[in-house]
Amino acid sequence: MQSAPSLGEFEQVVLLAILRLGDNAYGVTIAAEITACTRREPGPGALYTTLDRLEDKRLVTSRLGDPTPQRGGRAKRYFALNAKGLAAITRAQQSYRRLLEGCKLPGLTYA
Amino acid sequence: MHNIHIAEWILSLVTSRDRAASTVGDLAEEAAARGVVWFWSGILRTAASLLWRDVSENPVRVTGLAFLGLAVYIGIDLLHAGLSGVAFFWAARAIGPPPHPLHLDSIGWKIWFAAPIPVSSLCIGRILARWAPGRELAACAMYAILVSIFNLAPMLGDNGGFSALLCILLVSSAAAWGRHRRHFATRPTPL
Repeated sequence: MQSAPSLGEFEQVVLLAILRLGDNAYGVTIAAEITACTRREPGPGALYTTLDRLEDKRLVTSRLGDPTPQRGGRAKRYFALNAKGLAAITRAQQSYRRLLEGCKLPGLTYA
Repeated sequence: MHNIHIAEWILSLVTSRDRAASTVGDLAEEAAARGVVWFWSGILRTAASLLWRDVSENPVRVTGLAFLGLAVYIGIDLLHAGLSGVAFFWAARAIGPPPHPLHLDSIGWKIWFAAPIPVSSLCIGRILARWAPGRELAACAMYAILVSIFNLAPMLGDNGGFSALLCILLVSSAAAWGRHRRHFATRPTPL
C-alpha cells in the first residue's frame, strides 16, 4: 500500500485556501485568502515553492487561464485540489480534530 | 513593467517556463498596488526559495552534477596545462635556451593563462544546463561553490588530499542539512 503524503503546516494552509477559493484559486487570491484568514501574509517565495511542491506531489492540479494586460500578458495559473489532495487534507484535519477533542482552549469548544 | 522579460528569465532558471510566466504575472498584478521594489524583491525571494528547494530536494543529483562539472573543469585545466607546456617549450626551442627572452608576464601569455576561466565556465555552464533542465541555476551554484572550495583550499596552505576531503565534507554537510530541513519542514504535521 502506498503511504499517504505527509503535509507540513504551510502546505495545509495553502490547500485549505485553494479549497475555500474554489474556481478562483491562483497565486494572488491564494495569498490574499491566507492573509485574511490567518492574519499572516505569506512571502512569495514560500507560497510559490509550496504550490510547486504540492503540484509535484500530485495533490493539486493546475490549468492556465487567459493572459491579461494587467499581468504583462501572462496567464493566471489556477489551482484545484484533486482527490488525493482532498484525502490528504481531510486526514490531516481529522488528526488535528482528534488531538483537539477534550482540550480546553479559550474561545474554542470541541465535543 | 518594462523588465518583466528579465524577471521571467530569472525565474525560468529555477522552474519551468510556464510556471515562471504565471508567477511573474501574479507578482506583476500585485505590483500595481505595491510598487516596483516589491515586485523585484518578490522575484528574487521566489528565485532564491525555488533554488534552495532544487538543492535541498535533490541533494545527491545536484551535488553529483556539480562533481561532474568539477571533473570537466579539471580536464580542461589539465589540457590547458599540457598545451601551455608544449607551447612554452616550442617557444623556448625556437627562441633559444634559458635564460631566454620569453616574458611570462607579457599580454599574450596573460591572455593565454586567463583564457580557461571564461572558456571552461561557459562550457561547463552549457553542459550543466543540458544535464539539469529546470535546475540549471542549482547545478551551476553548487558547481561554483565546489570549484571555489577546490581553488581556495590549496591557497590556504592545505594539500590536495585535505582540499578534496574538505570539499566532500562541506558539500555532503550542505546536502545533509538540506535533507534535515526538508524532513522537519514536512514531518512535524504528518497527522
